[in-house]
Amino acid sequence: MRTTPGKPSPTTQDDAEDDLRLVEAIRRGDTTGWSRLITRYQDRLYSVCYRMVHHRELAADLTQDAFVKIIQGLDTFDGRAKLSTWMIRVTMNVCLSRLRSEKLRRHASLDAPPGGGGDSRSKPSQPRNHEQSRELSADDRVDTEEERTRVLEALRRIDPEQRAVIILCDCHGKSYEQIAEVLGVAVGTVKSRLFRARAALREAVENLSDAPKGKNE
Amino acid sequence: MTSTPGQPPADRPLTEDQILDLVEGRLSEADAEAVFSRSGRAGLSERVRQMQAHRRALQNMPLEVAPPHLAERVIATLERDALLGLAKGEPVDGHIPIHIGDRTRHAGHRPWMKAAPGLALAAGLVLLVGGGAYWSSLLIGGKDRPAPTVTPGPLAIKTEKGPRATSPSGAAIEVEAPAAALAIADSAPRNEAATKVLSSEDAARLAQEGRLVIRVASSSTRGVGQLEAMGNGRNHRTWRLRKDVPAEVSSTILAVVTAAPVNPEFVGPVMAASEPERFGSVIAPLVGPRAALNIVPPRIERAGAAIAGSYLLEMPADAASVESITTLLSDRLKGEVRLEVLPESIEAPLTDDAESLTWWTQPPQHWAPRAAVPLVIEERE
Repeated sequence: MRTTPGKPSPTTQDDAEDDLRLVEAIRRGDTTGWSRLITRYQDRLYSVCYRMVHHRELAADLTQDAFVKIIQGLDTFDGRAKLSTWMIRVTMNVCLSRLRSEKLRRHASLDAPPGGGGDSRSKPSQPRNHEQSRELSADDRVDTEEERTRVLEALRRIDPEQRAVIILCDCHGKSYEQIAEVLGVAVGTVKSRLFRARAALREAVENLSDAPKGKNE
Repeated sequence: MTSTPGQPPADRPLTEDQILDLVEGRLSEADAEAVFSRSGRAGLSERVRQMQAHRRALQNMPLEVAPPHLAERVIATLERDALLGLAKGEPVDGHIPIHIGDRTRHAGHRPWMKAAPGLALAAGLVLLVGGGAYWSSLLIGGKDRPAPTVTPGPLAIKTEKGPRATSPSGAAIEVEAPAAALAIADSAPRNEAATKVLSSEDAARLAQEGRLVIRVASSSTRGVGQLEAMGNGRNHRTWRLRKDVPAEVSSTILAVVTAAPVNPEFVGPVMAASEPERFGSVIAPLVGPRAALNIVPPRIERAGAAIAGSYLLEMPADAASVESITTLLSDRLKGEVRLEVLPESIEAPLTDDAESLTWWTQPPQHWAPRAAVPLVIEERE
């Protein structure tokens, strides 16, 4: 049985060791370690939040909350999982609790513009995986950009729990086991949820394509 | 699960695992084709290809860049929490120095509830004693007992009713007033000059002379606040509503509006001790089962009680403005507007604002003298 998606996790072994050293330093009271930890993970956690809520300011607030919880709860990190996985777990919990409590699944994400109030910072700047960087022709770029926008739009419309699985699997390249760890569910549940999420996403994209353009803008 | 393409029989649907294997590219192209052909589901390959495309689109999305100063914000929050003694991401409101009690904590266990049986017993005793006193007073007083009366105290002012007005005062907008439109107006002797019907032109002239008063009788004064907001002078209206009515102007207005002759017949307060022979008659209505029904409070009429507000209305003293203001008041306050003549002219100062000082910058046809006209809003019973 293979349960690992094709894409490897972005953190390497060296990164993991660095992380552990950083955690130790922070536990010893080295407050400068806070900055290093934040700098190292802020884009990754912000991306998780942004993909979940699709609103830049809210994503920034959620990332901040997540970091505070991470640093204050660093003593509870036992090192069994990767630090990155544990941090994403905390972040995802922050996002899901916010979405559940404020029912943003119905309002904010649908009201937000496709760019989510985007600004200059929203431009792509860090390709995650060099393997995936391809030389594209101008037409390909337009097609890809349109497809990406449509998929993102559809992603905002599916259930947050399903959205979380897809984001962790496809955007962050987490394995099923890591996703199960992040979400605190069994691997079987992850697979089942992922399957439904893919079907829901496909349907949402199809609905978007069928709907008149004006409705989505 | 193993993803050998030969396993799924042709007539059975693919499992979730198999579809995930297909979407996430864990099967070779040949194996995938074999799975598609064996599944016997039309359109499956197309759907899987769409899912693959979506997955690729998401995989190719770059990481978002975190907003600047995020680290500083986090560190500031951590420092704040450290100062407050917070840890593990607890909410601040649970740890601020001021204790906020849990509102639900004592629900159902309020302290006074412990004394509830005692309170019930005391209430029963009071009822028993009160009832006994009432029936005793009836037995003692017998048939010679004078009828229970409550003498009004010193605050009670007996108002003599003035002659009833036979017709409403003159108004530019002639509205038939109900007979009891205004309690005060009914009791006030009418100003002879006010009985004349005023045209807008006359009203404008009187406004210039300081002899116009506008009275509005409305059954609901809910629109007063709105009117005050409209006339607060901060918007670009030609008129303004002022609350700072000078005392001499107020007295003149009141003389017209509420000229109710008062016959202050003061009667001393109820003093049981001063009239021991009437003690029973005084106490009797206050105790017993019909106590509340026995006491009929004296009607206290006070001159001016129906006035909801008095203002100075600064406006251009021309016929058009008079008409528009009259219409506005009638609409907003849903009442009857009367334009009346004051017996003597009043001198109300105008506000020195930019508009009143720069009147000459307006076109000549807009040149009109401004006047401060008393406006009285009365609540109709």
